[in-house]
Amino acid sequence: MTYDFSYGPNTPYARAVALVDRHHTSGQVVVDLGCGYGAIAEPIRALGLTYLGVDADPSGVKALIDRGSEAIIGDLSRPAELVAGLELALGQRPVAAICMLDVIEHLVNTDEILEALRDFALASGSPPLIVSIPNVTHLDLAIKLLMGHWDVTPTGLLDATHVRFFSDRHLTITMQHAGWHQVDWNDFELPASDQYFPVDAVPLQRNTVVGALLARLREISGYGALVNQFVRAYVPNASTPSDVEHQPETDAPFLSVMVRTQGKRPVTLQETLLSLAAQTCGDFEVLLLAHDVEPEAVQIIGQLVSEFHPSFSQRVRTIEVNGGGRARPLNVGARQARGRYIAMLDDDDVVLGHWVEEFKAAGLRAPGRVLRIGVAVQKVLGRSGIWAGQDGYDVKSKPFCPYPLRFDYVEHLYENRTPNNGYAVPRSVITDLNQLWDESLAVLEDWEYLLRTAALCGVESCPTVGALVRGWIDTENSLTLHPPEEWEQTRRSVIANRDREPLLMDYGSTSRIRDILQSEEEALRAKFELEREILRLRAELESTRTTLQGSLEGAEARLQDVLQSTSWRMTRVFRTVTGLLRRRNSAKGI
Amino acid sequence: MTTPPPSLQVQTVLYDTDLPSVRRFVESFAAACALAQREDKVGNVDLVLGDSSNSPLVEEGQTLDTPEGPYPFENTRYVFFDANLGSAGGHNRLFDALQRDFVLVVNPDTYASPHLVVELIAGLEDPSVGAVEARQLPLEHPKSHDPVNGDTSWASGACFLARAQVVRDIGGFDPSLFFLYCDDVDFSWRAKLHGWRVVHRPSARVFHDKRLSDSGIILAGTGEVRYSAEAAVLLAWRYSRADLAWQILDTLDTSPNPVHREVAASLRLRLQNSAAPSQIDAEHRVSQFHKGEYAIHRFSYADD
Repeated sequence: MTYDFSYGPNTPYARAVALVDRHHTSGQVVVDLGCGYGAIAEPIRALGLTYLGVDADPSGVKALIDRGSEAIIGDLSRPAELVAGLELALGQRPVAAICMLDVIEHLVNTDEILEALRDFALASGSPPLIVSIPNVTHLDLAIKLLMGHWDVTPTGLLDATHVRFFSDRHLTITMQHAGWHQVDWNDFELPASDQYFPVDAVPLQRNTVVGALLARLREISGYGALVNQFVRAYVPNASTPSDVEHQPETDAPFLSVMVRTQGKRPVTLQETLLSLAAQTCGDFEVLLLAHDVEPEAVQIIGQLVSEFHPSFSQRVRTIEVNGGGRARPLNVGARQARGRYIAMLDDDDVVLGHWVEEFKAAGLRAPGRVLRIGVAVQKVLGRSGIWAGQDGYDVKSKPFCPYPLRFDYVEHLYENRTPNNGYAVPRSVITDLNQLWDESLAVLEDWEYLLRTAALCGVESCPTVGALVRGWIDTENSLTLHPPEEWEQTRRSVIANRDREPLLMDYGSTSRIRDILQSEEEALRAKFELEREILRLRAELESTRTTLQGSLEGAEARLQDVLQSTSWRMTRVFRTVTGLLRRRNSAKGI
Repeated sequence: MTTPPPSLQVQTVLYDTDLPSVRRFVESFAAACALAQREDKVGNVDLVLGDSSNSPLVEEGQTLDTPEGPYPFENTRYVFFDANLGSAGGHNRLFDALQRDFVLVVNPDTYASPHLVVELIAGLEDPSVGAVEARQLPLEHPKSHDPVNGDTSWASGACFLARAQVVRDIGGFDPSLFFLYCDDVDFSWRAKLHGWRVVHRPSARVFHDKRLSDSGIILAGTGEVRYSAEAAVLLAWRYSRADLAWQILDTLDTSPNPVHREVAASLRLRLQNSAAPSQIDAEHRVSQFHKGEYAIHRFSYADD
């Protein structure tokens, strides 16, 4: 089938021509393979280049010739003949660029033709190859698939004649395998592709909850959610890499433990490493993230590790990280981790002997979920030089468990109830969903990350205490280094970010929210009742006061009457004598 | 002429310990001993594993070596007791063949820090010190110690280093009274009665695999109920605190736990006849009894 697509300023063809303009060699001729009716012929000639169209369909070739362009018949299914025909048509003229626009997806012999073209290009001054290929991972297609649709159309993303389908990654691998190295890209985006139908489909509508969720999932999973056409430029590569398709790692450990250190606490770091070395389950690796550590301290860290038995020390890699805040080393480490899950420790954390074992058991019970374990806190007071000259600490309290053993997402929306060493995330959230720590946060980066990943994965709780946090007394920490206003502002920012997307919540969340609302309603009702009761009591008090006041005034009035009466005045003399006698006897003690 | 570094026997008593745990234990002490040898702090080291399990953990000819070996031990011995001797009896059996200058008594559920042996040996540099205990992680023992000289009431059998001379002086542990608990308290106090000091050295770290309940209480092993109750009474009795012994018995008599009541009945009979254990430390020079503990505690792991 020969397509007669028109050329326009905001089209994939225009973007392809822009790449030709950027990358053509000093050669003369742009070869347009599978040219159809030559949509780019005039724009290419407008660049001052010579256009040579090649197509198997004579009608397209004739149309080009009629328009004054050069064109030949050529069959991409026969690479050797095609190349011979090109060489004949080109003569001594050097090639400036090769274009294959909306072609590759129609070819069953993709690898063969690409390799033949690579060889041709290497022998022809290494002109770039410009391609335009539909993106089968466009959001619309992804949603349609989830809806159970596969709507083949005459043209477009699911053109009836397409025999190859490309994602960004698959295109890269295909081209690399055939000896083409990408040097530029100018992809064409369409928020609503030709697959955006039926237009009233709720999952396709971005402003519905499910539509927004699906769009967000596609967006975070990788490049190209809205890319309709990959428009790329490649140069020929003399060597081709060995098979670059994904090879699952067969000896990957269950867990990667990232230990973050600034090299300032070698004593507690040694204890962190000791608690890891003593784990009942050895199915883990350690990434010791030395963040902005001085060279001498890096050496000390290396020495600490090497002193352990090789069965442990050989599982520890030290990675130096420079710059950035608290989240930077986590992101660096996460990208180098090999484990199926990733956990984090600071260099003053210790874990109990079954920490890895419990995580692993939870990972088997509920694969793909964030794994969470109980954490206890123990108050300690740092002291300098108290342990044979080393800095040490005094333990000041028994361990106490301020955090619930079972994870509750709703509670965590209010505040973080899970220390860093209390959870492990599936590495897939990083490799497949691109969920890294937010490096813009100076504090609360761990809470923010947990909220994000827990919403995506759900959480599996281990019903045991597996880690210990040192609660340092009188020591500088993030609480003291950052003012309360910064904490509050960051907290609000984290919640505001959560509010910008629909919220996924785990099984049972409906009842949990309902319970909270019910408690709130009961509290409000109780408040109302108490306020009413207080008003009533106040009124009663006022009424009683009024009554008593009246009685008091009445009694006082009657007293005055008595004092003003004739009989009272007449008996005054007797009361005076009686009073004198009483006072005299009282003084004598009678 | 420099004095050669002391020689060492590392010993533990297994009881249904799984093989991976034993390997982990051996690897850690191998690394700690190797480092101590590199720093010339220790000479020859023997490793002795006693086994109180119902059936042998290691078959004849089986090796505990792993690909990460070899180990720095001159001799490695495995002794199957074919009986459950408990902690005290088991260690005493291993003391029988003690030829080295120092002996490191450890639980099998421990993991040595690389500098453990170096630090413990440093703790015995003072000739008055007979035993030095390590600091346990992640759950440190709450008993107090002198921050300057490390003196402490008693050394925990989870991990302490003692001079072989101390073992000879006091005859090791006393399994006739203490099967699993307070054997280490008794060892320390008898050592003190012999004039030895017992110290705590916080820079000597050992990981001791303990678990916590969700209220921060250390979870007890299966034998604790019986043996700790028994040991509490007998320790008080031995150290001339008969008043305390009877008081504990009165409490056990009324405990809701039937094991406590059973222990109380049995001990009452024992203490009331001629088989009652002899009593020592009549002047209470070394023993300490504070609110159910054998030292002043900085904090408590028990419920508030």
